[in-house]
Amino acid sequence: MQTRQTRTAYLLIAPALLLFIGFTAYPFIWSAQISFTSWDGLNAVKKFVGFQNYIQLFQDAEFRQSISVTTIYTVSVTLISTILGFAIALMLQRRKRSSAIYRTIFFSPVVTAPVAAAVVWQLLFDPYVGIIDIGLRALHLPAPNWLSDTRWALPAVIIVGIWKRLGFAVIVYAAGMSSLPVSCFEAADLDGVSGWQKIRYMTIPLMRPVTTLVLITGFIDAIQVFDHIFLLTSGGPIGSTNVMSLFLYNQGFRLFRLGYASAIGWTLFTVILGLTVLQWQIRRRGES
Amino acid sequence: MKSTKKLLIKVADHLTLIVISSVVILPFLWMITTSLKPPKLAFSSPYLIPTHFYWQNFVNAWQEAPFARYYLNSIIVAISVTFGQVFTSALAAYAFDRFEFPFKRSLWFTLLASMMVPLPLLVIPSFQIIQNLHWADNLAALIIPRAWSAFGILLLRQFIHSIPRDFDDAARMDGASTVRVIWSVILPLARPAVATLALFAFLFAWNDFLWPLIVLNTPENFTVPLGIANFSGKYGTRWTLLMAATVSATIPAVIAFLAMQKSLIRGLASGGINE
Repeated sequence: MQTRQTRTAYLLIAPALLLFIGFTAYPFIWSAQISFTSWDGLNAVKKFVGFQNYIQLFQDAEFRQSISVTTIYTVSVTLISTILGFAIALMLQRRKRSSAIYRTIFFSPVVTAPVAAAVVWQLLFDPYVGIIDIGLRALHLPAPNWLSDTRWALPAVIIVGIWKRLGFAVIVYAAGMSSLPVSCFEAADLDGVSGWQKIRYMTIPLMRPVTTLVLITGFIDAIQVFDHIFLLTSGGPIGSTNVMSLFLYNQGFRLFRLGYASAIGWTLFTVILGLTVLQWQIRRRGES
Repeated sequence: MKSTKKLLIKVADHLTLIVISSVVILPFLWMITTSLKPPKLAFSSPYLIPTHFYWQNFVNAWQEAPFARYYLNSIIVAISVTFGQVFTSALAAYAFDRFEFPFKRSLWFTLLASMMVPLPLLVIPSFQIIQNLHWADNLAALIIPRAWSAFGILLLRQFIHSIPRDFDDAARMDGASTVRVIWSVILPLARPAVATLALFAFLFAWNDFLWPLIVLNTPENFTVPLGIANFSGKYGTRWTLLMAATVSATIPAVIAFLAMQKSLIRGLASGGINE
């Protein structure tokens, strides 16, 4: 009986398991091996170079710039979209009737293809016909050439990142707030607790698990950003938007330095692993 | 006094919401307005709400690039990935919930942990694998590696867990095989979770860019995102044409997803909180 159950179970998980092994586990392990070679993808010979790629990586000024660009991007997009998302969810909670239409609006960027969004934002950021600079000029404010100015390119791609991420934060917070115990808030009302105090001492603490989730998934999502930056700036000007995924792509698929690119990938993975472990720790502490 | 304060908060709420949502929706509006502009107005004074309706832009865009073909490719890929993920996830989720077998816990942990692996890391060796399999520049490369999903197995397992085993047993008494039990008893009962997984899988496959960018070469094989990127590279600042292409390539999909947003949102919210 036991062996029959085992056989059936393995037959059932076989399709998923085989695909997992072939297209996730195997490339994952293989990429670790590649990261210790100086392979160009063409030669059959893969020269073993030990930790050379990793050592070189941390001495590479371009990589250091990439890390700081990725950090600024990830932290700005995640923090701003989380705070804004929380505020919007609060307002939607008070506006029961109109909240459906607002939710649809905030959600549309989430389902829009990042490539299409990037093309549209390219037009919006255009210094001549883009509505952003037309608006700034009308207000007699300086109108930067967003995507080709080293000071403004990163803020520009961060704006697009927030626009795409905001809907997710709104939806998750709105769902979380709808499951809050109404009776506690009614009791607080009777005791004359002000609206701000309710948010400060009730909503924010009660929403802490949701906040952890929105923040950590936000970090993991933003740290891998590729699509819209690839199309808007290709990492430029002068590396000012060269996030890690773009750096990896250029090293791997333009310069064919597969070993070096894999070392970048493993660095990225290590950071994500760290963030995930952090999330588990926080959740465990919350439960105990 | 108190009611004036309440009223003020209400007005402030509405104003803030209107301002933020206008900003969020502005790119869509600007895209549609530009796509309908006659070319001679493209560089003159801007206007936000469409007042001219120059449909010729759409005809021109579709003549300049094979968007019908891109659509077809995207639909083939997205539907295949969706069916693949629902099929493999349903079988695996059922096995993980209903059976005991050796290495069950470590397999489960490994599958879940694999969700942490960043796609850019996998892309380099995966491309080598695809080349060795002679799948480069072939839609199979977009479908087969994506025909499973750790998220899908997790989602369906949670749902299947809430279905009483009595249903399985009753069907088995009638002589149904395990696959039959999954297909005609479990899947219909798990419809909400299946719908959520299907939507996520479709959306992911439909919007994906990095992997098709690496794998595909010839324009006949392009998916919609790759087609738009290619078109944008070619027609850089012919904005009216470019926006017509973008509108026709995205708005139908966006409308379809918004129509199904209830299950999408439910999935996002529940997946997020119960995780």
